[in-house]
Amino acid sequence: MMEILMRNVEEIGKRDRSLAERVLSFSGDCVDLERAKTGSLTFRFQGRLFHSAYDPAKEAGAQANEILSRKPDWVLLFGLGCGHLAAALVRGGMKNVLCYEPSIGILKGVLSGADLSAVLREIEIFDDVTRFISRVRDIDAFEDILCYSTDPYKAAFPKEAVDFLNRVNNAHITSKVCVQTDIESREVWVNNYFENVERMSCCPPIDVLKGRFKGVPIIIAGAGPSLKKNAHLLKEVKGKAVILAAITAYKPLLSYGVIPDFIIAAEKVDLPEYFTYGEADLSTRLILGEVAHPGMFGREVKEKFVFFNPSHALSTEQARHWGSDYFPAIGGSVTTAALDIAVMMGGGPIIFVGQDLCFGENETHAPGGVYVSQDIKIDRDRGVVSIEEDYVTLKDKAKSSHRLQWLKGLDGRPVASKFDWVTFHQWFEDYMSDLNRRGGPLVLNATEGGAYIEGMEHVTLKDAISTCIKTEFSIDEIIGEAVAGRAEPDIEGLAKSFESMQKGLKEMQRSADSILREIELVKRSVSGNTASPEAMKAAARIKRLEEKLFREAEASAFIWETLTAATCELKTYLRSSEEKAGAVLEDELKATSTSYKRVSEMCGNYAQVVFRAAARLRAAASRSGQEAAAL
Amino acid sequence: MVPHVYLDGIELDFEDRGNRSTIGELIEAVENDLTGARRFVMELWVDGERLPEWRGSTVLKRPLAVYNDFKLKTASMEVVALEGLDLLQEYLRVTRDNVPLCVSELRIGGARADASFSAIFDGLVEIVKTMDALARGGEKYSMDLFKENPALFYNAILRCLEGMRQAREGSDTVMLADLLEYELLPFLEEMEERLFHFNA
Repeated sequence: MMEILMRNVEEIGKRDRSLAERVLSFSGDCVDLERAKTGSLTFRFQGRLFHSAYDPAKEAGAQANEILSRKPDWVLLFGLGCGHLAAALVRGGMKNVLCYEPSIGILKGVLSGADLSAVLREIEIFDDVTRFISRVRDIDAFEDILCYSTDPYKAAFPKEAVDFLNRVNNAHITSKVCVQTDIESREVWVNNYFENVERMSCCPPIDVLKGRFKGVPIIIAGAGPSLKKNAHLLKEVKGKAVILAAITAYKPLLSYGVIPDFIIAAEKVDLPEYFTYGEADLSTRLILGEVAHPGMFGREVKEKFVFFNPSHALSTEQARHWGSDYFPAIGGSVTTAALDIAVMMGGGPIIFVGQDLCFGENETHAPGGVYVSQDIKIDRDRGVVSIEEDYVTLKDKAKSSHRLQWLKGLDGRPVASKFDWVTFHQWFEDYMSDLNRRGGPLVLNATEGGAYIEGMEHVTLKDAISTCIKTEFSIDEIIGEAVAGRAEPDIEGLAKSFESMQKGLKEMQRSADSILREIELVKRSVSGNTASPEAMKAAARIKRLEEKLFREAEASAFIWETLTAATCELKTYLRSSEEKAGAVLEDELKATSTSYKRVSEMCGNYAQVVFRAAARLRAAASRSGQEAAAL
Repeated sequence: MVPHVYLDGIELDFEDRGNRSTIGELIEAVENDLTGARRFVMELWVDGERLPEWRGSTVLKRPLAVYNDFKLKTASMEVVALEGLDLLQEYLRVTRDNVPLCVSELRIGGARADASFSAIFDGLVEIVKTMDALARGGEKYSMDLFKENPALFYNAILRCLEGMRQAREGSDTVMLADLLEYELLPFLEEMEERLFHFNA
C-alpha cells in the first residue's frame, strides 16, 4: 500500500509539492477501499458506496460518454473518487481535466490503495478550493467549461458542491467579463497613457511612499451601502489613521464630515461629478492609475500620485523611466489596488469599510454620492437583478440589468451580488490567502453588512478603532519628506523609448501591408478549398512575414493591447470555423485579411501618437528647464 | 326506471330491487351465472358508450338506476387468459426496456431518472397484480397458464421493491442503479424464461 501511495504522491508532487506533502502528512481517518464484483475498487463514505458495487469502470464509462458528448473544452470534477471517471475521460481523449477533492480522508485512502499514477499524469488535482478557483481563472474565457459531480459526492458534500459550482461559475464569468473589459478598454487605456505623459511627469509615483506608514492604521473606504452605518466614526480617526477612499466614497464621506487623506481612481472615463471643486478637493490627494482619463489628472487637489498597472505593456516597459518599480496587484477595482498600496506603504492594520460587494436593501452605493435615487429589483427565479437609478449628471433614469450571482454573507447566508463585485471578492480572498501566508499585516473588514471575505478578520468599526487606532501623527510631514526625496523622471529615456516604438510600429505596418498583398495573391489563386502552387508559395511568404512582424512587435508590445478586439474577433471566428465541417479557405483568408488591415491601421495611427507624445515630453522638459533656469 | 341489460345481444330479465343495485352487483350476478360456461364479461357499454376502465371501483360502485341500458359482451375463459398473458408479457417487456434507460439516467445524474424509475416501479406492481389474477383464474378454471408457479417469484419481487425503496429514500442512486441493472434486470429476464410456455 505504501508503495502505491508513494507512486501516486510522486506524480502529484510533480505539479503540486505542497499537496503531495499534505497527503503524506495527513493522519486522520481515511476511507477503506473495497473490491467491486469486477475486481475494480470502490469505497464507502458516510455509509454510502461511491462507485458501483458491481462494475465501477462501466459506470464511469457511461458518465464519461455523457460528459464527452457535450464537447466541453474543460471538465471540472468535484470529487476524484477512485479515479474511474477521470481515467475514463482521459481514455476518451479529454486532455483538460481539473479535479477538486473535498475530502483529504477520501483522497489519501484512495491514493493509498489505487494506483492512479497514470491518471494523475494527465489531470490536475486540488484539495484547496481557493487554489482550484485560481486555476479556473487561468482558463481562456473563450473555452467551454463543464462541471461534473457524481451523486454520492453531491449527497455527502452538499454545501461544498453548491459553493464549488457557484465559485467556478463566478470565476468563469469573471474571465469572460475581463475579456469584454479588455475589448472595450484596452485602446482607451493606451490612448489615455499617451495623453497623460506630460502631466504624469509632475506626479510622483506612489512608491515614493513605500514603507512610509509602517505600523500606521490605514482605512480603505469603499462606497458600499453599509458605509452609512459607520462612516460617522471615521471623523474621530482623522489624524490617527490614513484614510484612503475609493473615488465613489469621496462625496459620501464628505457628507459625514470626513475628508479622506487620499482618493484613489483609475477610471478610463472622466468623472468630474465626483469632485466638489471647493476646499475639500484642495485638502485631499489623488492616487491615479496611469491610464486614468486625462481629465482626472487635470483636477485641482492638494497633490497627485500615480501608480502603474502591471498588465499594461506600456507601463511595465516605461515605469522605470518614471522612477517607479512598483506595480500594485489589482483585482479590477480601485479598492483592490488600494489594499496592495496600503501593504506597500507599510500600513497595519489595514481596515476596510463600505466594502459590501453586494446589493443593499434597495441600493448599490452609500447615499451622498452620484446616485440621487435607486430602485433595485431582484428576481431570484430568473436569476436577474434590475437597477433603475437617477444619476447626478443624467436627465433620464438609467436602467440596467445583470445576472444575479451569490456570495456568502457576513452571517453565512447568501447575499445577492453581480459579476464585477464577485470578481473583486474572489480577488480579495486570493490576495488575503497569499498575504496571510507571507505573514503580511492584519487586515480587518469593518464593513458592517455585505459579503464575508475569507482571510480578513471581521469586526465592527467601533471595535477596530478602540483597539487599533490611538496615536496621532502628521501625515503631511510623512508625505512631504517622501516626495522631497523623489527621483525625477527620466524624460530623455522616455522620449527615446517612444521614438524606438515609433520606428518599430512603422516596420510592423510595412510587414502587415506586405502580408495583405500576399493574401490578395492567394485569394486570386484559390478556388473553394483548393490552392494552386502559387498560393502555397504565397502562404509560405505570409508565414515568414508574420514571424518578422511578431519580432518587430517585441519593441512595441502595447500594440497588441490596442488590437484586443480584433484578436478576440479572430479567435471567435477560428473557434466557430473549427466546429464547421469544412471551413472554407476563402472565409479564412477574409478573416486573416481583416485582422492584418486592422494591424496596419493601428500601427500607422500609433506611430504618429507615439511621435507626438515624445515631442510633447521633450517640450515640457525644455519648458521646466527654462523655468528652473529663470528661478 | 328499470334499466335494460343485454348479454351478448340478448336482453336479460334483471330486477333492480328498490333501485339500489350497483354496476358491480350486476357484473357479479352475471359472472356467477357464466361460471359454468367458463365465460367472463369482457366489455361494458352503458347508454351506448363503452367504458374502458369499468373494472375500477368507481364504475362498479355506480347505481344502475341512473342509466337506461347496459350491454355486456363476454369471452371464453381461454380468450381472457390469453389476453391476460399478452398483457403480462407486455408489462414485462416495457419494464425490462425501462431498466437500462433508468440506469443510464441514474448513473449520469440525469433529470429523467425519477420519472423512469416511477415507470419501473408501477410496472412491477402491475406485473404482480396481473400475474396474481391470472394464477388465481387458472387455478379456478383448471388451466395450466404458467410453466412455473408465479407465486415463487413474489418474494423476490417484493425484496427487490423494498431494496429499491430504501435506496431511493436514502437518495443512494449508485445502489439503486446497481439493484436495477444487476438484480432486477436479470431477474425479469429469468422470469420471462421460466414463466411462459411460449412468447406472445
